[in-house]
Amino acid sequence: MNFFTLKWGSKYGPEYVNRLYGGLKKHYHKPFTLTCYTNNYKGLREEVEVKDIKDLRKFGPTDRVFTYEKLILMEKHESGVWLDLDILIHNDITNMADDPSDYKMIWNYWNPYWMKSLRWFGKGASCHVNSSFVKFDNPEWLIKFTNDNWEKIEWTYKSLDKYLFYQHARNDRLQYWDEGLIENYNVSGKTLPGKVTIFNTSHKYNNKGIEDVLYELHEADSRVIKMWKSYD
Amino acid sequence: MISLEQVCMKYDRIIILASNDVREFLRTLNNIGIDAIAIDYDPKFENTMSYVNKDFVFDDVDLTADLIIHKNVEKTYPVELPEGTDVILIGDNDQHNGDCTPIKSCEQLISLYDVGEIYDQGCDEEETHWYVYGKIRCR
Repeated sequence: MNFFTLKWGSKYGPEYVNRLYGGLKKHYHKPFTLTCYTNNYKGLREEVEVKDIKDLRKFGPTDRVFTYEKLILMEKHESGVWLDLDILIHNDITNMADDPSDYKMIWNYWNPYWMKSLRWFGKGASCHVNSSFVKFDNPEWLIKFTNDNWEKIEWTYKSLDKYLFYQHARNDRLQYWDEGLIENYNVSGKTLPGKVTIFNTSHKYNNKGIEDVLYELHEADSRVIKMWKSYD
Repeated sequence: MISLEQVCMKYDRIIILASNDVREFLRTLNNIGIDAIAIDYDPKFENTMSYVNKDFVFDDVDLTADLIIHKNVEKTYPVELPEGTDVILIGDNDQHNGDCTPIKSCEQLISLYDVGEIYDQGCDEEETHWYVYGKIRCR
């Protein structure tokens, strides 16, 4: 299995990549690779394959469609799993990674759909999906739609997740992980249910009016930090 | 601001884009013989009379009309509207989450949608909400 992640800028240090690899080593029970697309490979452990993030910026630099590089990843690699850096894998994900779906992502079960998403749908301010852990296997329909509509997509959406929600979730084109497999630390608390926990914070900086206190992985409680560091 | 009711009386087929809830307005227009529909992708309008529950920017929709009223222009990509069609474009610069085309002037509306002939234009007292009534240029 080929896993992929992205790292640029200074928000996350190399320990995020290295511990992601360690988490896979512990909780994916088949041979695998982890490729990191980055603009700074310093400090990455030698098992991690490194590629230039520019290879995924097919449409050039943009401050829109945050992390659109993930879509281009699927043009470069037919199948695999893309992972955000700010996730903690804490249980066996072998079956998830081997899932036969052509595209499976996270549905935000932890948020009430009507109150958090449908209510704001018409305002263009909604999102109920998350692309922190995605299995893909040559989703030609998604690649084609993106290429055919890029100008409109870039103009309209601030983030990849919003694009996926408004264009593809709306038309029932996506598949989602079963409820309970992936949880959100900033909503579900410190008990680490399921197999993967995400530390989702980017929406706070991409939208106005979100007052929630949100923790990054390196700011989490001592139990989480201890587990995370054990992946060194 | 422009009186939509008065303007609409001059037309036989009207489409309202990004309308949000205009059910009452549509009912009034249809009751007096004007063929009026709204196109809005919000799922709350699924199965609502006189609504097409689609995204007019990305989905395949028929925009043939005598008058197109595009509300909430700030929330949508500026699609190419049918040439020669009368339009009323309404947008603001309130900078809400989800706005991708903040509107700051009538000139911007005219330019974005290639309005050739202007019948009316203006804004509210606070100069945050703008409208243009005119005809899409024939290309």
